[in-house]
Amino acid sequence: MHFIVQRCMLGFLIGCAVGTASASPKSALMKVDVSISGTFQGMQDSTVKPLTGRAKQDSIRKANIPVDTNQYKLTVFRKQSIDLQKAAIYPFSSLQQMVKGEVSGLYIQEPSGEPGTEMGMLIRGTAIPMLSHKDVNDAQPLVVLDGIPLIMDHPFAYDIKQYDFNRIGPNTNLLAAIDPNNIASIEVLKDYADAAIYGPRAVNGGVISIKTKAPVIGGRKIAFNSWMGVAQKPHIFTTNAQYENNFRQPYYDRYAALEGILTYPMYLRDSANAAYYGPANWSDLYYKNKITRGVNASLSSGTELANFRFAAGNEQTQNPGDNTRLDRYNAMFEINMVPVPWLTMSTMINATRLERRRNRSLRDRFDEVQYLPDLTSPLAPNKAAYAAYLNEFNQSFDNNRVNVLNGFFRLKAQFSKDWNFTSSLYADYNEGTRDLFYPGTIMETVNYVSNYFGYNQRVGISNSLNFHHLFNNRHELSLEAGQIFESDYNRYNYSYAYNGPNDQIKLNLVYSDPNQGNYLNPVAYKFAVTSMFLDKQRHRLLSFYGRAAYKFDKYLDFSVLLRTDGSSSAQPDNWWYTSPTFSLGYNLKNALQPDINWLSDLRLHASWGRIARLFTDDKFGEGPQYTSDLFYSNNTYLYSYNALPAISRPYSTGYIGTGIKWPYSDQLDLGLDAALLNHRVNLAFDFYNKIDNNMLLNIPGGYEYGYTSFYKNGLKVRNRGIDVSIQVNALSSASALQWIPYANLNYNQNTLLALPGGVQEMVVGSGVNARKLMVGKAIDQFWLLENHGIYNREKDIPVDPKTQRRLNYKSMPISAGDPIWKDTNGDYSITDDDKVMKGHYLPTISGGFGSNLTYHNFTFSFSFYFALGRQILNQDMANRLDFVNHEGQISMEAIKEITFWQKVGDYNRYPLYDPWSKVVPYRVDQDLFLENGSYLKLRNVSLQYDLTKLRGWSKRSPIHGLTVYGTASNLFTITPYSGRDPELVYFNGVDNGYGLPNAKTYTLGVKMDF
Amino acid sequence: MKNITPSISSSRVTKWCTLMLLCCLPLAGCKKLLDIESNHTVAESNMWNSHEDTRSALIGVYGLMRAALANNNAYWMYGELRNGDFASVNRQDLEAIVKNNLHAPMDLLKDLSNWRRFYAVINAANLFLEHVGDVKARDPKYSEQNMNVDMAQVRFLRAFSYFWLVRLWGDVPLITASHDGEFANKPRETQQKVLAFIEQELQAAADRLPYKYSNDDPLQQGLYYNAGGDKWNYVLIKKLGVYAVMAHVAAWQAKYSMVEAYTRFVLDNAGKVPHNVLKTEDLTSSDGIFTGHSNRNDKPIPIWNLNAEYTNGEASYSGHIEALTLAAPLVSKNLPEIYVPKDTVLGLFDQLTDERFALDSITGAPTTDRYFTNFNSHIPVFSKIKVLQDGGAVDPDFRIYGSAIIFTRVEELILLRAEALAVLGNQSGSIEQLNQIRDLRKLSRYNATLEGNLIDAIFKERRKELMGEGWRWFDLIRYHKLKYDDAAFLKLIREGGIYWPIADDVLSQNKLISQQPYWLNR
Repeated sequence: MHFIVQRCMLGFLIGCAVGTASASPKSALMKVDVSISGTFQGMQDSTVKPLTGRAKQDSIRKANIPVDTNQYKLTVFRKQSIDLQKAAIYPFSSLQQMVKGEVSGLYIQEPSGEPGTEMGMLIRGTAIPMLSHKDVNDAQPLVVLDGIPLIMDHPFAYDIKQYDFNRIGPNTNLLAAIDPNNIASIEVLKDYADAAIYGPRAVNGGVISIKTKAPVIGGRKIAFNSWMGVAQKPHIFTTNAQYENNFRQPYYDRYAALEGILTYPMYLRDSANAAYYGPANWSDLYYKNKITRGVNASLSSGTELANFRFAAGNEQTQNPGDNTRLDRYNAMFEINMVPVPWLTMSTMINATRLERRRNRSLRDRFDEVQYLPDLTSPLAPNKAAYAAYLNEFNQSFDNNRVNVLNGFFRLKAQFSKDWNFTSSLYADYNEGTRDLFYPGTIMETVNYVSNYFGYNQRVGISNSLNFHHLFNNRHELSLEAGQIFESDYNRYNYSYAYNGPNDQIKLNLVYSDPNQGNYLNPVAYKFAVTSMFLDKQRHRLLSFYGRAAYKFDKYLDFSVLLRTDGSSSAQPDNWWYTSPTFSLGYNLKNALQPDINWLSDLRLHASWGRIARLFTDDKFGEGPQYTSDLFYSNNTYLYSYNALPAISRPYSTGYIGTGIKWPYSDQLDLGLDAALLNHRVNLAFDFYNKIDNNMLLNIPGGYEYGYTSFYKNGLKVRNRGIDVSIQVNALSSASALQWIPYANLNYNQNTLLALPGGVQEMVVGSGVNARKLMVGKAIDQFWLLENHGIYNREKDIPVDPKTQRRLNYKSMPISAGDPIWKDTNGDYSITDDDKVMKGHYLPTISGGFGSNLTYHNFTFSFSFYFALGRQILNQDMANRLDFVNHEGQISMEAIKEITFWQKVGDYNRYPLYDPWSKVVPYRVDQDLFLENGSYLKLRNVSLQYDLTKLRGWSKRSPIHGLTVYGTASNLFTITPYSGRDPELVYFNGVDNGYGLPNAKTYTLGVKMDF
Repeated sequence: MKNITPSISSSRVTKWCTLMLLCCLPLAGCKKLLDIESNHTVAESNMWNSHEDTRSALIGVYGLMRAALANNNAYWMYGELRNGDFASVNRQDLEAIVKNNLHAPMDLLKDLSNWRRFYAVINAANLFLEHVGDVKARDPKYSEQNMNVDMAQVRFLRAFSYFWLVRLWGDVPLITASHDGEFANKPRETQQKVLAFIEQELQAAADRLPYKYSNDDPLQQGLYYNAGGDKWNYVLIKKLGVYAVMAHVAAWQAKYSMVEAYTRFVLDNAGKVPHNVLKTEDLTSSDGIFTGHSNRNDKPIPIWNLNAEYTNGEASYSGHIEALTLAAPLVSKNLPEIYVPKDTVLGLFDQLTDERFALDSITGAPTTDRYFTNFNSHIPVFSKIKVLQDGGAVDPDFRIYGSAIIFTRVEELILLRAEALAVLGNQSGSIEQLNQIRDLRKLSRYNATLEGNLIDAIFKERRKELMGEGWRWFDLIRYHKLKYDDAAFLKLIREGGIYWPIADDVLSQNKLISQQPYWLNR
């Protein structure tokens, strides 16, 4: 205990020790962030100006100066933040969409255009190999809203799932809960000099920091923004059984044995069957033009002593595909008060409700139901047949609701000019419910009901003591000591039941009297086919930190941060981890070249920092442990034997031993910020070398002890690259026409430096997700057989001169009609050893560019987004070609969606193999299906017209801002990829044919200020 | 603008005090704040404390054994399909097993050739045996006798798991301690050594287990874990079950005199449980013996079985032979995965009076659909085992099955005894045993002149009686060892082709283990 107290005090003492050394009567009021998020960025942003009188006032009430959208200057260079004027006019439904392509080093991929679904974000590559949804979850950067580190869904809910497609519950993107109209700024803090103060949650490359708009002071402002538009249905070519039949015919002609002909699928046999052979017009019911709209209004008023802002908004985003929709209802209230001159109180409450209408794909349905009916006959491409199916489907209900509530209460005490103390209490709570019923008519008379309620809750208390002083007008010193305590709670209750008495009983009610013997037993559904799950995760994080920053005159700055974190998920002998961060900046322009005219500003900066990585599951804190592990294929939920609870080691999920240490991430960042030609050309350049050390990896092994794998520290991954941003004010400020082109780019190189236990390589995942990790190579590579064509004749097949045995694939002899797979190790047997690591599923180069043009009242903008050096494994095509192994089975692979009847890709690219061959010639794990997945997209275009700049507009008019605008999104994509949109692929680079299109959307809108 | 920065005043002291208070609050309880226990796992320190822990751990070992045999329907993949009577309808992986192409590059085979799940049973058993003493020391309610019975069951399950390993892979690593956290690679030990260990453990278990639980057996008095015999006797291993397994361990090694002794002991004492022979109806009805806990008249108790009862919420979509064999009209599935071809059926069931399956001599139609339903179609449905849900009021549209994996029942053991007696030269004794089964199924008695070899007749009867119960492959091995006339099969036995290849995953992790010679160059 003594030891722990010592450690606890550490951060606090550092701050105090330095703090007491300084006492000078002269000081200046400086911008000090109320949260822990002070980032000393004043020294970085080349366009920051000294604070005006009003801004000084504001800064006491709220650290971040309100940036009014209507006064937002396009000419400002945003090195690491985004243009929010744009964010509010486009039909964006999530944070990811707002920041996509806007900041160098932040890569966003939208695997589906379905509104409100998950979207991954990666800052400067990934340190975690993406094998499952859990990994994607673990690799997400921290998002902070007004100093509140937002809590996301916990991936432990995947543990009870048989398939890794969707999380149980509403599975809604929680970052869709933020209304762009309420945001003043979004910054992406990648440099650990900025990010390390956020602690272990910032470990995935940094922090996305959102600040909401602050209330106005002196007067009243009403703002209104509304847009409406249409999401256009895509043009697709539909197919019917005739087409499929024609496609298969050559295979049957050339290769089919009698057995193959006898098992010809029933649905293709009867050409008189109108459902399959009739017109393929299912798309009329599947794709429709959809209205999409958004509205937000805010009222803000106040004085210097008390002010507030209230905003309410609603947005409805629809995708033209499969009747999907997301509704967001948002209300936000913020109030600041100065009851006594030295004290400021601020409170913010932000409440959002998200309602999502999900897609109707069979995969997602069976993924939830975990029961597969007979799949012999797929959905038919004819409209009438599909309508009949939809009619039955519509007897179901599927309510997905999420409520998000976050807020803070913050006290800031200004003791003197130099000293202040900030204390805040903050909370983020989100709850999701999903109530689901599928009638028996769509699943062999077996109906299904499930109910989910889950919540994630984070409560935090933070205190910080700040000192700031300017000595002799040259030495500027800032000190900060702080403490943070955060308590997380993730919980879900989930139950499902099959085969209720009839389709009228759509609720799985349970007896609710705890005094009765039948308490919690289902009323209508049978107990034996009802499953209930309750689980929770708890995590506590206690942190102390001290930071000192020193700035000499206008050219040299230096800072040190020392932070110590205690996590309840770490093992008790290893609760605490201390990490330092240093930064150094040198303004070359001010120091050496004050007279060069063309160089307006030049600052060099360097930082090195360390951030610890949290364990995502509280089980790691327990060491060797017991759980229930009786699962076998298709039974992910078995916990008992003979109706008695059973306990065993976690054999199938991995052994957790003692001595598990904290992983950590080190990043070196070297950069320069330059402004040329009177600030008309702005450039930011960063080189980074980020090494994630000692990460936990679940390594296969321990089979003779019953385990599939065990957890071990030692994964070490490096991401190294550059971030570049540039913005040019192409024309002089005097010109009526202003043209501001900008671009940002990230180049990232990923390398695996070490695996646990000194292993050099290992295979992880299985099937299409099997990947090899090899030291010295990137972790995002595919692992595939190399395909070199087709053996047309038996005699072309090589024979081992030693044994006279013919080349084989895993012992199955290769024959004519089989692929030529490269025998890389020359042993005349094609096995996994012959697979090579090829391609990358994450881009090596990504970024965006665009322009803003203004001429008098008009503003025209466009932005492009690109990702290069990225490959896609086209599983969708492989499944279509490998039709033999995708018929007549009851398995997830055999599912044919209605989109099966849609023409994608080009069959002519592939050799005509023998699909009946036992070597499975069209297997996915070969480079035949690996394609270049680079793309360039015109993301959006907008035109705005500012009516207040009209000559006749009265300056006294109560309306002092009025702009009408039109936008267009997702207009075109340029890509060499032969499949669909190259963005619509699974997180691991596999195009499985799912994901609704990112629709072309056109909107018109108006925004007003009173 | 008013200067809001406060002048130094007396209130400052108060302010500082408040601040210090706020700051120090969390410092007081650093340890308390961070020391929270996971809600979904049990730490080692919280595990071995009371008799509830031993019960959960014991049940866990049973559950792992069930998982090992039910995973991917392994019980039938290993025991029924290889060279057996079933054919695959449409699945290449199943066909590969039927044809003994166990090295084919398919996920199912890859999984089945990994022995991990059997070692999970062994590891759980080792952990139990290492820690049960802690519970004895900590929980006064945990009696010596209770501990002995628990340990005997766990030792049985460990040996039983090793018996599977030996039958499937031949030489395997012999690990008798948990080696927690070390996981050192171990080489394979000879099959003889492992079998010796199995025999020793089984004998020890047999000596300590009661005939019945909660039945005041001298070895287990009073209620076992506070529950009556109905809770346990259909589920747990009992003395006679151990002897039945011992008989099979002996048969595997062709020690037929011991087979004779063990089977005699089981059959002589069967009345104490009681284990009875089954009427054909009790064998094949959907609420019969295969429910594992039948509600039929005399509630037959199988000798050793692993249950997955529907009423316990343990029924599942796979891990039951029904998942492979059933199809329309019994369930809503067009075709089964596997079936017994008509020719095979007709070749086997050649007596008109057979209650299991026979063709009517006049109409040529099946007289019963007990064993086979929809016999007139191209692919008949094997319907001997059909425990849909609880086997009661059957809803054919919900393919969730509750059948037990029955390792052995009385008929099986009678036939094994017949086999042993025949090998040992006691023809009349053997025929008597065989005829007992034939009478039961309403067949004519064994006729040496018509039917020829007695061994052939016994194995043919086993083939019919135990169809779908996971015995065919192991019967074939014993049969060919006895007959010694099938060159191809003898080659298989000689070269180790009767064993499964070792999974690539295992080989890549444990360099002390190399692939079976037979599968090396295939």
